[in-house]
Amino acid sequence: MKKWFVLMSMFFLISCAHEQKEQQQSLQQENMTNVSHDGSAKRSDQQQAKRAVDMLKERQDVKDAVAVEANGRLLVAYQVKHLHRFRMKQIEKEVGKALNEQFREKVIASHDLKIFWKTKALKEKIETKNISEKEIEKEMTVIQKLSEEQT
Amino acid sequence: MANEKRKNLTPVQQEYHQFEQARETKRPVLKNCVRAFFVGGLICTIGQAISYFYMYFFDFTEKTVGNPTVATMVFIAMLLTGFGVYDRLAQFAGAGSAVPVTGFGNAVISAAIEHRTEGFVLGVGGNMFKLAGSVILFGTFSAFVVALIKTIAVKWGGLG
Repeated sequence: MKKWFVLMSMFFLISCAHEQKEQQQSLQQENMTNVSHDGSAKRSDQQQAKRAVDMLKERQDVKDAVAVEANGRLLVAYQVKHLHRFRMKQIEKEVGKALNEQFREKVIASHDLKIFWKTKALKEKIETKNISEKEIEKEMTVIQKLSEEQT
Repeated sequence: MANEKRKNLTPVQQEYHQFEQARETKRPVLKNCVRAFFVGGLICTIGQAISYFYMYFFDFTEKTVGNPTVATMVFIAMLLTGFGVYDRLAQFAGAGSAVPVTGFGNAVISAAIEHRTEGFVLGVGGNMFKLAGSVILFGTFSAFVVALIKTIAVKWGGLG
C-alpha cells in the first residue's frame, strides 16, 4: 500500500516538472487560459486593430482579444470568460454593436476559438514576416469564410 | 409498492411483502451516482479533447466541430463494444456510460452482436436498431416539438 502511494506521488510530482520547452508546445501557449498583453501587431497600418483590442479588453466578460485589419476590413476575435459563456448571444450582440459603432471599417467579429487561433497566427505572421496587405487580406478572407460556416 | 395497493393485499401477501423488504439488497444509489458522474465526465473530457484535436489540426470551428466529434465518439464506442470493453465499463458506471452519445453506439452494436446468429438480414439488420431506434424516434420527435415551440415563441411571442 505504502509502495503504491510513493509510486503514485512520484508520478504526480514528475508530471508537475517545470519544463519550458514542454509548456511552449502545449495548447496553453495558444492562450486558452492566460491573458496576453498585446492582441494586435505593432505596425503603423494596424492602429484600428489595436484600438479594437483595447476596447474589448476593457470589458469584464472578455478574457482575451486579437485583431487584424487590412483594406477597410477589421477582423476581431475574442474569448469570453468561462461562466460568462451562458450569456454568449447577448455578449456577441453587444460586442458587434459596439465595434460597428466605433469603426468605419467592415467589422468581422467572432468568439470562436478556431477563429481566435487563426487570427492570432495571422497577427504573429504580420509581426514577424512583414507580409504585404494583399496577403493579409487573402488570409482574412479565408478566416471570414471559416467564421461564416454553419455546418 | 404504493400504499393504496398494499391495502388490497391479503394478510399472507402483506407478510410476504414485509419479509421481502427486510431481505432486499439496498441499492448503493450514492455510489452509483458518483461513479456515473466521474465516468460520464471522463467520456465528455475525451470528447472535448477530440473536438480540440479537430479544431487544431483541421479547419473546423467551434460551431462545426460537433459533427465529426460525435461521429468519432460513437465509432470508438462501437469498437469498444465489439471488443467487449464497453460492457465492463457500463457495468461499472451505469448511466455514466449510457447517457453520453457513446451509449448510442453501444446500443446499436450490442443488439447487432446479440442477433448475429439469426442471420444478417433478419437478425442483424432487423434488430440492430431495436433500442437505438427508439432513441432516434424520440430524439427526432422532441427536436421537432422544441423547434415548433421556438418558432411559435419567435414568430408570435416576440422572443429572440
